[in-house]
Amino acid sequence: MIRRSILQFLLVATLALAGCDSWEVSYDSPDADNGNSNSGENTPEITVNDNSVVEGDSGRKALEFTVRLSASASQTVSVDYTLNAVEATEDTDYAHTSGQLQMRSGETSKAIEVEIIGDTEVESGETFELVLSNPVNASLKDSKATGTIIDDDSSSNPPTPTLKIDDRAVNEGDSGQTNLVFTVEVDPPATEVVTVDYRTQNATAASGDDFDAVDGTLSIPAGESSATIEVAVSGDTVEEGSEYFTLILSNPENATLPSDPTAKGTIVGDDQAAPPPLDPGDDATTAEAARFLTQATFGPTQSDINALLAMDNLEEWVDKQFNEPMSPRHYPYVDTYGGDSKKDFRHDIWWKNAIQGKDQLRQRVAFALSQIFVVSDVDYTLKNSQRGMADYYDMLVEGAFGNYRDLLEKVTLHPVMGIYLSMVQNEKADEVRNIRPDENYAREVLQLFSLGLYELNQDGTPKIGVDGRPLPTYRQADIEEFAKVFTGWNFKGASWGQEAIESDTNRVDPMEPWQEYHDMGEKYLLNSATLPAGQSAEIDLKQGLDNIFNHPNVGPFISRMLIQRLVTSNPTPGYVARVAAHFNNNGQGVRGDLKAVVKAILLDEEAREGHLTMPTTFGKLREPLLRFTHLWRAFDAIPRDGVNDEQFYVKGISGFEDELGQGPLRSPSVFNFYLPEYIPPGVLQDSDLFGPEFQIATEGNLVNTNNIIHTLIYSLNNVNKSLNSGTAGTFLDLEAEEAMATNLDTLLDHLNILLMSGSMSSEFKQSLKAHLSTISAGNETAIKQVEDAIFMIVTSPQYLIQQ
Amino acid sequence: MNKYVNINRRRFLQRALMATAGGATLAATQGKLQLMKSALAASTCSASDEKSLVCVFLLGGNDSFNMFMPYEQTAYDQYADARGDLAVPRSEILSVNNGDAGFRQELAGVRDLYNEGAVSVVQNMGVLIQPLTRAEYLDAVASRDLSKVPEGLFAHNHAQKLWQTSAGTVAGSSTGWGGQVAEALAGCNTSDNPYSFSVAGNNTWQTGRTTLPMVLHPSRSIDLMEGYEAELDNDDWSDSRAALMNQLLQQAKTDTQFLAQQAGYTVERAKLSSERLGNILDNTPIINTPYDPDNKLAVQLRRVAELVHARNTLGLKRQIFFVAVGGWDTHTGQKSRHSGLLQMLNDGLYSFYRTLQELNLENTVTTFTASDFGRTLTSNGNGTDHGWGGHNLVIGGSVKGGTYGTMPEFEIGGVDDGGNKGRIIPTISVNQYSATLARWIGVSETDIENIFPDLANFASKDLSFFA
Repeated sequence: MIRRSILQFLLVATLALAGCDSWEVSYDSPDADNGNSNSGENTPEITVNDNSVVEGDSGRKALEFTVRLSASASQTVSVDYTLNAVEATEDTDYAHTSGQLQMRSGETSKAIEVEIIGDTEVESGETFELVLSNPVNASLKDSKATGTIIDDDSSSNPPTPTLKIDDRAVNEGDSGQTNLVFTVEVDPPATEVVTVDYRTQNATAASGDDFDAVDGTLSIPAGESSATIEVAVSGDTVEEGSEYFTLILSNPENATLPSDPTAKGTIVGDDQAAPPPLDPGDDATTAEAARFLTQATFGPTQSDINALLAMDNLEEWVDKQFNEPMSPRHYPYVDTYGGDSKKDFRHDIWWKNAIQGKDQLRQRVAFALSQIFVVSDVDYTLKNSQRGMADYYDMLVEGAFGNYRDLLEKVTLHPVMGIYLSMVQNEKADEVRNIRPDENYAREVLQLFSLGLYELNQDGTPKIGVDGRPLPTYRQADIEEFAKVFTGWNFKGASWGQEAIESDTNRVDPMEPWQEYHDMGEKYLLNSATLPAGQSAEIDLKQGLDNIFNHPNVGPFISRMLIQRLVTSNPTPGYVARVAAHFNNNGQGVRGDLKAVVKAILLDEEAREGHLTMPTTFGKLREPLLRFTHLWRAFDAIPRDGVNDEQFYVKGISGFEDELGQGPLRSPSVFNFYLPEYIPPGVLQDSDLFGPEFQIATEGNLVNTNNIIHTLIYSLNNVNKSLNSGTAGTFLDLEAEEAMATNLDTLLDHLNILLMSGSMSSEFKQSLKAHLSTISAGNETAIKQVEDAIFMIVTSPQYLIQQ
Repeated sequence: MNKYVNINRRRFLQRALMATAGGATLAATQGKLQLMKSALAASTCSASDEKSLVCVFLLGGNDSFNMFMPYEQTAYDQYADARGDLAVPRSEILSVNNGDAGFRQELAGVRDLYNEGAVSVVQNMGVLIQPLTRAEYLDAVASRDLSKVPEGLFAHNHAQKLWQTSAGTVAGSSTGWGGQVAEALAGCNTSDNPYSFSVAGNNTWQTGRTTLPMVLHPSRSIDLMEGYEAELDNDDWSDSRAALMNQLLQQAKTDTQFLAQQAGYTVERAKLSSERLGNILDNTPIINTPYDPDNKLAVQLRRVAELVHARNTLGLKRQIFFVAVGGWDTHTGQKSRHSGLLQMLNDGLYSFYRTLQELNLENTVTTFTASDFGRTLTSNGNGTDHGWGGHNLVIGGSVKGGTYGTMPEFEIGGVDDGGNKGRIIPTISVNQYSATLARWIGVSETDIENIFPDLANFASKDLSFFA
């Protein structure tokens, strides 16, 4: 549902264009010296038939005229064509077209398609003419044909509108009642009153306990396009999963039922459900453990899989991760080894923590947050602020298990963000100097870090206004008010002025307020809130951020983005609603608790079973960096620089992230590496599915990634290369796999779990096995088999989708 | 790029050239293609002409009112008054048109090309659904009736999409007009090689209904994709591996998992691009025109020149290119930053045009600039914020040089201001500009009407900046 409703407004233009094939003509180039003088005996004659089509009530259809030649011509034949209205009206009943039709030598017929516009008006026969002229290399036998649009609307039998109803979800709450509101739409609006009976039916939710049963008749007045049915849902604190009931429509009058006259009403359980227990020793459980770790870490390892299987359930693992001490901060490492101008050292410590950190969940969530609260040193203003960049990332790692509201404030006041979105030294309006506050941070904090452009339902679907358009969350005037809120902040200990921005100022400690540059006027915020005049920069900032934080969009907006980063590109509305409920209330009345959000994302039924319940659409394209962390973790990367083992070198291939299209805090703009709503042409577009990561799966990036992985596997492993040879690089430890290769089934089963979470098809496995069996290289046979197996798995399109 | 690559390039070239003659349609390998008839099919092109269209997108919103501005004293004074301390001193303006207007001095090269008749300046243009006066715009905003005003005007991603999709009413549309133009022109090309290229990553402009651009790095060579070819002749092992990898790729294209299927097509595109284009970029022409390898725009345009030069070899009569440089979102430090950006723009455009002249291609290549939006005339103390209308440049040997449209009134809260911050309401629609460019490269009138539906709302369908 989310996809359909978002696409309804995202893709109107696309669909409209795709749906109006106008005609089919040749691409052939006209002859430059084509004359109009052919009158020889062999000149073929052009004929064209009349045709008709039933117009339909809406949308567009094609009426096809077939232009024929009496014989094939030796040269390209062309003829001009245009349309003349007779009883039909141009651009109301049909779309005007004109042009030149060409038939190549050998062709004897070709179609001209005219687009017919459907309506529900009662009309008498509508006709128009196709007129042919200026034949080249042929003569005209017919110069006209009539197109008839057969009206299917009649006064005695007006069009019958169709009803429509969609699924809805609501959070149950801990007590009291909440209404679940279903909208019944009538399309097109009827000329008489429409009535329809409705009633609820128990499914997993039970009337009386979970909701109040309804049974009645809905009336929709003539001309109205919709009416609503409300079902009261009862809150509780019982730990239960989501439950649903069914709303059923029947006995319509003056309208027809939709093909599916039922709607699911989901009551989202916002009380923590008991997670499924683990059953070690079962193959499916081992695979599921690997799949879970793919979502929750930088990639499963054999030892992590074993450790997880030793626990009672997944929640125990999550809780342990919450208490795992944080890996070393980036800042001291960059400060010691790199300094402000060398980004490679910031990257090295990122890789070290991602690959070796015990606090995998924290690090993975921080990486997801770094793609929401985006700063980037691709921008020259931050290129030489590597200490500040490192500290910014540390702030995200520290905040990953904290509260969103606290993190939002830290992000806002971090000097690196101050530089990136120019909030530093943003000053109040000054009429004498003809200046006004900078809108940059105000705009992006609303659009990208918290609310998004459109009002959202709690399940992440956009709210649509009466005009059929999504409702904007804020207007330009709101941006200008927030711009005033964010005035009067400067680097700690710096003077006010351009010099301070350009010089070596403090880029680690939070910015500090300068009241004389802060706008002290009243400010009008969202939801009709007002900040009174005369408040300090600190108070205005806190209250301004509170105003944003308490907007109902934040839960679904942030939840959906985190789900996309960790689990799946196309979460169902129910999944978003369940996670958003935990954002809104962690069970103890706290809003914005990221631990609750993360746990809800990972333990949700959709995360755990989506690959089975939605096998065609569940999952996401692996991000480039995650392909490398996965490989290095799966095979216990041994980083060697040949000089100093204190440092974690991934420099076997220098600066290689830039060749992948992704690097930590390296996105091209504040809009991240890809947009959450990116849809590539092809099967995803045809199926209305998002695929954000496909935006950077460009030819160049994929070739580079493929080839760097080739190098890693074949040239940098500890079996075919001595670690003491002095080669710098990150080595894969393949000794265990080499030993397994004596039995190819054992090797492939092991790699299937570790790399594909058990999803390798038997066909894939048999093909691989057949190939590996052909390898004969003496005492290098085993390692060559291992190298090939890993390489072919991790470059396969099947592997590229994390499910 | 990859020092470990050890493929025999020469053997590969032979295969690549063979592949060009037949095989899969690389330009549009995905999804619907086989099922749908092209909705845009009436565009024609004659046998002899070749044309390439190059979009130079200035990401972030160029303060173009400080790129080309009034020079005549009275008009200049108004401009200077409105722009306050961001005003470019009159002494730093290189005047044209008998002293009416001028380019900021960083654009000396572009000014020279202008004087040669190779540059059109299209003034105060922006995304519009229909012409709008200040009163109409303010009414629409006040009454929240946004049917006449494009959605999300001042947000970067939406503004870019509006520019690139041509669908003024739907900011979220994912189909770009460049991609649709490319699809309309596909029949002109005699090979199935890619003809829509980006040297600046994926972008909406070139995303058609069935096609994506081939995305290339601006300067690196294109390596073979390891594993999909035998490494040595008569090597049974790597032959077997290559056969299996290709088999896995083909299987993925029919995978019932939609994302895996998409990944199959995506990897195949990458594989084919490396096969088809690697040799082209390893055998580029010798070009004597100098360019600055540190100039991000110039580097991208150099690659474009190489690919335009290879048009014949690739069997292409029509090409579409996307080039982009960021940094134009000058909320802060505008004075020095914008100067540097304009210098980059000038040097890149100038060396590109001279390069095309050297290759005798300047009359068949048109380069145009685009940007999210113009910027506020007013200052935030240190820079400017998101505006609306702005100027853009069209450069090429086919261009009828001069200025088009009108300079706005430089008055805060004045007749052209969309409020009281100097967010200037454009008087020319991006669709008029884009349609003029599409017409030049050979798109038929009917296709133009389909691609630019809002064009119907404007009296002039063509800005006449081509000779």
